[in-house]
Amino acid sequence: MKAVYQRELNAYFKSPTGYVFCAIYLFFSAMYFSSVLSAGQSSEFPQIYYGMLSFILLMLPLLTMRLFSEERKYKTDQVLLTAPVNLTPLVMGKFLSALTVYVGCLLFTLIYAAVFRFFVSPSWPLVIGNIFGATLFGAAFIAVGMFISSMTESQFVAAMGSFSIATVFVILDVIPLRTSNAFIVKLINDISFVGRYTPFKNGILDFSSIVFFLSITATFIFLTVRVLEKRRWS
Amino acid sequence: MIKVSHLTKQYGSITALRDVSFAVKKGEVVGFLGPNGAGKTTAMNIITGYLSSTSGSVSIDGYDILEEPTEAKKRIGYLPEVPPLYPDMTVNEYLDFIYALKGAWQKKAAHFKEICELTRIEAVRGRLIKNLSKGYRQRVGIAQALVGNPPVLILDEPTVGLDPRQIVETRTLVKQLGEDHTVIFSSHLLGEVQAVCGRVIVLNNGRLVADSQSDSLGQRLGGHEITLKAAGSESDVKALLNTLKCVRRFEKNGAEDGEKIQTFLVQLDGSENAREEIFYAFAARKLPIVEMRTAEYSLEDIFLSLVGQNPNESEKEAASK
Repeated sequence: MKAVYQRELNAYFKSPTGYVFCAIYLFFSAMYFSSVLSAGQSSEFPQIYYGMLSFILLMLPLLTMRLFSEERKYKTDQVLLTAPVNLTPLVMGKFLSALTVYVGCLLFTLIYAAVFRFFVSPSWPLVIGNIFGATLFGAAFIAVGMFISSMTESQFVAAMGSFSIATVFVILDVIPLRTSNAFIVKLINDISFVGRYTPFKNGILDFSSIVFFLSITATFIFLTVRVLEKRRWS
Repeated sequence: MIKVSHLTKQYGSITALRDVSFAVKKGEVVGFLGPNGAGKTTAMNIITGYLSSTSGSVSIDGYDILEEPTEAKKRIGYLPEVPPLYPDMTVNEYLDFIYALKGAWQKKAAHFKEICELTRIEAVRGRLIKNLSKGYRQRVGIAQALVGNPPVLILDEPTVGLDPRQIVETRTLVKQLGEDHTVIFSSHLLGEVQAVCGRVIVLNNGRLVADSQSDSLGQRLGGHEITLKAAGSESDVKALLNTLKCVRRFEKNGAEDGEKIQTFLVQLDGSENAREEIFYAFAARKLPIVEMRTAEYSLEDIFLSLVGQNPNESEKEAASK
């Protein structure tokens, strides 16, 4: 697992992918930060994370598209699958490498919090709770993107696939704003990634949201392993 | 060391391998021979655990590739048809990665030095793989297979796409590796297999059509046919050959010295004294034999006769699939 993890992490920063992802993330989160600064209220701080969620959904395909598609294109999956290693650690290595890049960006926001401290003392539990929530949120969608990447040889198709799913979620989040039907609003808030994140924004460690994100992550990691396993048998 | 039994692989309705069985002893160098699409790569992918078979089993050193994949895979070094290289890594980084991936235990620096000397890639160890020539990539691919020093090496067409000098070098390398490894080496070049391997397994259309020592394969077909040159008129020689019991059939294959010396290709019935019988018969008729030798077959001829069709037909068949 460690070998794959290190290789993948290096690969992100040998190609522009890692830098582009970080740059876009930091650009948009800094924009939110400047608006939070002008509001000047400590309770506004989670907006840096909450406002970014839709962007993150749309950006994460950048990180996940290459994970398995590239291996298949270069036929390097042959060396991975014939190595004396189980599939699960291989998949975990890749998953964790993408998660590391993402969490690295999240941790950059601690600098914002430090700057913020010059004006108003931020609520640290709130900041840490949001970073924790955003990590779970990203992990779940990275697992989804990795699963899609494992199904195709083309990075482009993998990116478009995860991008479409992200778009569906983004659109889904608009619906509750346009309807007053309590059932639909509740349903969408229950299945929407952003809806599930809302408790973290409000400073609540919501157990059901944690379970929601963790189970999505686990399910799609498991499915990725199955896809690789299945290809061997087809 | 390698035991393959009743291997069958189907891709949907296409059968890539049908009931292929063979065993390879420790230290043997075996050539996999067959036209493109014969199932060589599929067989190798199954042996190394990359693909699963539809039915049948493979065991490496007693470990079943499906039941105990980790133990079995530890013993295999595999060079696939396309070397599995990451273009964005340098050769050193790549070997480091493979070393960690395989969980090799050898002392790294010395182990890499040995491998790089053997495969002659020392000069490019610091270069990015995407900038390497095809020949170097192939050799890095072989180096990768050698990491961890597995006792079994599976090399899928390691000489394809190389220039003539590199081909010779690669063959020499495979021969050298064969001294202390069990090697399966695939090729569609018959001479290559003959040059490198002690034993040939011939595959065609997913079936194993021959499995024997590469020289005995020649004898098997060539042993009963001789080229005979005798001084005398064509009709005399023909008449005599017709009377001989040990001659199954014959055909004229030219004449020399203004029709004084006749050349015939003669198919014998395989009896032990056939050639003596011919000698005495010709001597008695005062038709001196000036040359008699067993016809030499190249692997090409043997291959075509084993496959039992001319190459155009088999190509047509492959195309129709």
